[in-house]
Amino acid sequence: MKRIILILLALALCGGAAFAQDAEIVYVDYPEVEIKRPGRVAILADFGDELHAGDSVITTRFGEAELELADGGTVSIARDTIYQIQVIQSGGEPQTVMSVALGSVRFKFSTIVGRREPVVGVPTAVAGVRGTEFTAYVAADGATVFVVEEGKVDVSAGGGVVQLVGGQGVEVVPGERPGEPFDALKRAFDFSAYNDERMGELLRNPERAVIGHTRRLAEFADQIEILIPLYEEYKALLDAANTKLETLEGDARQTFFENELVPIRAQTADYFNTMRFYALSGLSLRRYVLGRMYLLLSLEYFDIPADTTYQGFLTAYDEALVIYESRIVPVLDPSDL
Amino acid sequence: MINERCTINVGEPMKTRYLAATALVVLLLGACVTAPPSQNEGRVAEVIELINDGSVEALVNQSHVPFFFDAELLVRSTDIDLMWSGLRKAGFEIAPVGFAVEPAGPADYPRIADTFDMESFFSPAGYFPEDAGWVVVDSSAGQMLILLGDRIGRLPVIFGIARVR
Repeated sequence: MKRIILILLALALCGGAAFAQDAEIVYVDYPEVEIKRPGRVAILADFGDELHAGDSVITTRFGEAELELADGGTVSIARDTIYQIQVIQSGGEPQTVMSVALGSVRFKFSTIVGRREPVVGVPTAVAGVRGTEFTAYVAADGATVFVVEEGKVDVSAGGGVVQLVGGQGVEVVPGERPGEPFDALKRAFDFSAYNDERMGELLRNPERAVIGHTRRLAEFADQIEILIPLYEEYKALLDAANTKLETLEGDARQTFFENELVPIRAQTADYFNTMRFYALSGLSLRRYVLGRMYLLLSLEYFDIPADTTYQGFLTAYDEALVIYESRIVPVLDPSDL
Repeated sequence: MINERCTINVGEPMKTRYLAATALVVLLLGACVTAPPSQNEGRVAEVIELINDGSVEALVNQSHVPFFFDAELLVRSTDIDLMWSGLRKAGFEIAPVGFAVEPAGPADYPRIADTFDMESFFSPAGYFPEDAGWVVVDSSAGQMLILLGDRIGRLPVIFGIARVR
């Protein structure tokens, strides 16, 4: 019940902003691309479809898509990829957060003075970008390679940060800091070969990959637990401010509304949306990365479920699910499914 | 004159057979109306045959998206394809006889797992169909549960498959 109240309040706080268009599909290999909106069955994507915060674009092995962002940037989504667009309120301003859960996505952001640059999240890292063209390649085990063509990208993971410039790339494996930047100009990055290599690593040592992602899931949960009391404190302040507003009239009411209530409402929305962002990031990690790993491993060991490697994977996997169920789910809504 | 032409004069044995046949047709029609494809043993047997011998493409087309495999939700048709292909490659097979068909309800989700994902999937506001049915089968991987509901063509849609814990 508490979960539902949270969501209803969020809708009230977000108001019309929740329905603003954040991107538009300008190219699609019909019918090989789907749009998954929260709480709805996936639909086939078509030219001109609008994307809003919370929507995912899912391509099959046979289709690609290209999006135009509301601020003029472009996003090219390769085959067999899961991409999600979100908008969070940060410091009272909207910030676009794009996630790649699997596959590869090429980003080209235009620099617009006064606009905040978007943030790109992958299962293992977060990339802050500045006037950039770069590609994120996310393998089956969540390991990621960033390759920058132009501009700068700060890749953060596991408490470490690496700054990349044009012509550089970096790998981030689950649960670890970014590796050493490498020269990406020497030869084109072969994502297919990289994915095969990571798949081999996943099958050899699945427990290690799950533990890395569990750490990331716990980081999301930690952020949620920091935000919950702040959000509840501001929610109480907002309720009190709304009550007080009802007792005022005329100029006093208008002044109180503009100077007191509006800032409190903006801060409450900030806390809520950021909390939801971490929860949805946890859901994405659990669904697209951990869930897919479960599928791959269960099929690989279907005939030999007692195998110690598989059993080790299941034990680590169950620990990840405990964090998800107890620390992420309370901020999710069934419609997020 | 007209009435005489239209009158069929049947004898007693003929009348009995006629009435019995009519009753059988009515019963069969009634069964069709009351038992949805998901709980119709003949249709369920056809789904099992499809799982055992049908093409992976046909299986993917007969599968709901999202789909549950054990307690995991597969939200991409690519992953559902991967699952059916992988099961086929692993030699997975269901015993074609001896299966049990039971009505299914939204409160049944703990049969798969008592988790947020399953509870949400099984809720009527989620993806749970009104005429859902469980099929309990013996397979090469032990006893399994299959959730069927709705229909595509004359066969019920497969909503998920899970090993009995």
